[in-house]
Amino acid sequence: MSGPRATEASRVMSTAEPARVRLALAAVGFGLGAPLAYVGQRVYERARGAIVSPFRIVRDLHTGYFYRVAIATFIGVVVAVSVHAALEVRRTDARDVGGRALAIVTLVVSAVVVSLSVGAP
Amino acid sequence: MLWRVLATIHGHAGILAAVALLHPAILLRRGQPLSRGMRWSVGLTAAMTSLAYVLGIAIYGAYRASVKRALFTASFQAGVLFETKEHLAYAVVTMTLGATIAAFAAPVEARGVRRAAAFLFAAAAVLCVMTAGLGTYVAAIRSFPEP
Repeated sequence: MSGPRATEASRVMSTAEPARVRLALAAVGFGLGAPLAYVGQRVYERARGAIVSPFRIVRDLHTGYFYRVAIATFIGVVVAVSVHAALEVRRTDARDVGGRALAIVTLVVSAVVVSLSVGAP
Repeated sequence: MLWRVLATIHGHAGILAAVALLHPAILLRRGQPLSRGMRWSVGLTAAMTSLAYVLGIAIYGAYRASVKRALFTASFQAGVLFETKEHLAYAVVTMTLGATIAAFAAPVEARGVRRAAAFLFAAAAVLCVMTAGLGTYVAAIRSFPEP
């Protein structure tokens, strides 16, 4: 991040309560990440071949919807934690970046694997 | 009878949520710190949106058992639109919850964060209007039977 926006963000982080700013931006990350994750799963389902028969839609137990919701919520939380951690790392010790990045990437990859395996009926 | 009442409450809560979501979107657009009235607006909007979503999930089992087949028989298009409504509803509730936490957590100086929350509220409002419109259309075609 660079330019006037970066300057404003840095100023806010330095003058406001940093923990609350991080929490608020993490919440924004969740608000954007979860719906996008849901959309991603739907696009994947459509690409894989969605249910088009009304008979099958009526018989469907809605399990797929709850799986999508759970996975999208999980990915949204991962995005929120990532934003929170990234902002914290900028302010504190950069030595932890590798470990945190590894943890975040592991979570995201596991979420993607889960969504690809159960995301579509 | 109970399911019809719950479905009616769900529909009214959804329409109220669509209108209520516009309020924090307008109030927060300039990033001003939250007054007591704004806190009530944001909190009640989140509560109304969550209520509509939770009620929709709660009545789905009975809806699938007693209405969905008749709905698809009456109109395949309406049945598919019902599915679309569910996808939109999830986006609405997650955007609303994210924006609510952001608005409450942002310190006084963090105007940009509140503007981002206002953007999320506005997007959720647009999607909620679409959801409520689809729900009303679907309910007009087929809903729980009258007692």
